[in-house]
Amino acid sequence: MRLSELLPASQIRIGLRASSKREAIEELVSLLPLPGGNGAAEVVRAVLERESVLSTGIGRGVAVPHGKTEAVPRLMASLATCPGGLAFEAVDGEPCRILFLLVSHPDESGPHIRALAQVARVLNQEKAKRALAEARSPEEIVAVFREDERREGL
Amino acid sequence: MDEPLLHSLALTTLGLLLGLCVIFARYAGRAGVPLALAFLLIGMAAGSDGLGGIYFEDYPLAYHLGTTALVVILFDGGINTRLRSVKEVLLPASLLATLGVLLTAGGLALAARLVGLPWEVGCLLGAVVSSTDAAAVFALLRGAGLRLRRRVAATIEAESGLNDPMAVLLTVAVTGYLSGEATGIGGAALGILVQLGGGALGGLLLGRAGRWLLDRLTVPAAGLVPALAIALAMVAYGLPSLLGGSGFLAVYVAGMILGDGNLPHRAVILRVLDAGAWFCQVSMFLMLGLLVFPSRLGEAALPGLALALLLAFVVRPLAVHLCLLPFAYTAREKVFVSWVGLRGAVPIVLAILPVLAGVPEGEKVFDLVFFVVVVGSLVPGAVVAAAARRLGMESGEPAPAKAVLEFSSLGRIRGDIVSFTVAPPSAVCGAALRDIPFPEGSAVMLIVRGEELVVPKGKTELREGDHVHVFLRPEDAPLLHLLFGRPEEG
Repeated sequence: MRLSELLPASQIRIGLRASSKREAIEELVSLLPLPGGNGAAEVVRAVLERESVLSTGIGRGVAVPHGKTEAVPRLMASLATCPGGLAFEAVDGEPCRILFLLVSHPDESGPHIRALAQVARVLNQEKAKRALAEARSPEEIVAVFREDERREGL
Repeated sequence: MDEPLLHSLALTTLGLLLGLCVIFARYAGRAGVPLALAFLLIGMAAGSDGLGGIYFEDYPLAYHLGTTALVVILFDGGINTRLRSVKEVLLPASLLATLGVLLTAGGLALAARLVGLPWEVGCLLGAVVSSTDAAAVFALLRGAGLRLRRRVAATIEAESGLNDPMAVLLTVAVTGYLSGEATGIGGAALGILVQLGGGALGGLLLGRAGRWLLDRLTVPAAGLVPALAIALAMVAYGLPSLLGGSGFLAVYVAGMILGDGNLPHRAVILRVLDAGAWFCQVSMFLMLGLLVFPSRLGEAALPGLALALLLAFVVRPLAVHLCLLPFAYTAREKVFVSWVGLRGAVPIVLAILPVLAGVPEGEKVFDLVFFVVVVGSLVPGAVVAAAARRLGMESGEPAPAKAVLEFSSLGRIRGDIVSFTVAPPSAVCGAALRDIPFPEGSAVMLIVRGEELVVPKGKTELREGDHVHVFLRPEDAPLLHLLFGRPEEG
């Protein structure tokens, strides 16, 4: 699975505008190419439902909000950076600078999980994380994932 | 009666009373009465003035047993306190635990003067009841199915764990002054600093030492590990006290340090300490109930009631608001922290000290303290859940699920076995195990589905409500939390 293909430049935002967790998720969802532009509210609900189990702010400035809902036909992703940091109730209490949203149809749990693991693996590398956080354009972000895929032979 | 019989009688009586307390516990929880209070009332009913007619007036014995019980309870509290959440609130909690205690004691002394009690009584009373007890608050909230917001919970928990030493020091100082061993204000202040510093340092060192020992020790029987933990609690209280530090502070800090991070044999240690702390709670309150003479309380009723009200509505809120002034707490949070200043066993145990020292007002103070503690716990305790809801102090997070199976290791093992409950929003719900990309060195070991154990195979699908036991290396925890959600608690 290639994250770079899941994440075209149009679904990336440099500099999140949101100032709260809910707003951040709404903003990330607004970047998704939802069919007919419908179902954003349902996607937000599904993601917040997962947040209520345990915050997906996995620490060290990274959050990977995700959820499963029939409002999306297939696996979709969006990414936003937040140079100033956003309070996301992360497990280590630190503000989040990179937010990666993943939503999928409930029947697609396999790809959903593999994508999550992939995101966690990339964001676990300090160098890639720094490059993402400091990227000045969506293209630079895509390039970081491409570089990782090249190295991993994906 | 001769000795073998006497002892048999004592054990029978004690056993019956303890059993009665345990049986009554569920009704107390339902009525919103702090459990401790229920035990106290059972003790009173069994006492010399009550139905049981048991005569008990051994103040020295009560003091020894009470202090020992407090050591176990504080150690258990410390080991269950998450060091990280305490660090977040260390400054405000420390201020509440020192200046706050001083303000409460002073304020209550003034209040006592207002209701016409002599200065000596007021000062003693203020010192004795100046520390809070958070255990009752958390028990009540748990009973009501409520979880507090993290910072508020951490603040009241850390405050109550840290403020007992100050109350002890004040009581000792006032008692010393009243019984004619005055040291002067300067000497007393210096003494308090030495005690607090020594206690904190002693707890830190002994907690580290205990951890060092537990990390290396291999024992022939699992039960020996908690025995070692209890031994550590005793030393953590005793040794720093012998060297001039505060034992209460030391034992709480030692518990916190010991419990931080990856404590070996955690499950068995916590289970035994939990049982130990309960046993100590029940016994201590029973004994204190026996020590009270209800017939003597009539005289203390009116001033006691007035003082309890002044404490809850004026003194405590003032002290809390002053101490929290430099910190960013909302008005509602301050009101809630003020409201849950419930008093526990510490004041009643401390109230024995002046009696032992032969302070003339000692017994009068003991009765007053009893009243202030009981009334001061009944009323706020009864409405603490409602207050938490009304003030919006509830945490948005659900309570973690309870594990159904528990593994504990006798030796030292690298890696953890963590269990999760599969919830529908979790990524793994509905997925087959072969689709979950476990990192090298992590795997599902066992699934508990309803009353059945399921062998994990590649094609096994995870269903809602499954308890999944996962073997994981610490560095893989973030990924597995992302996939599975919140770990269960033992």
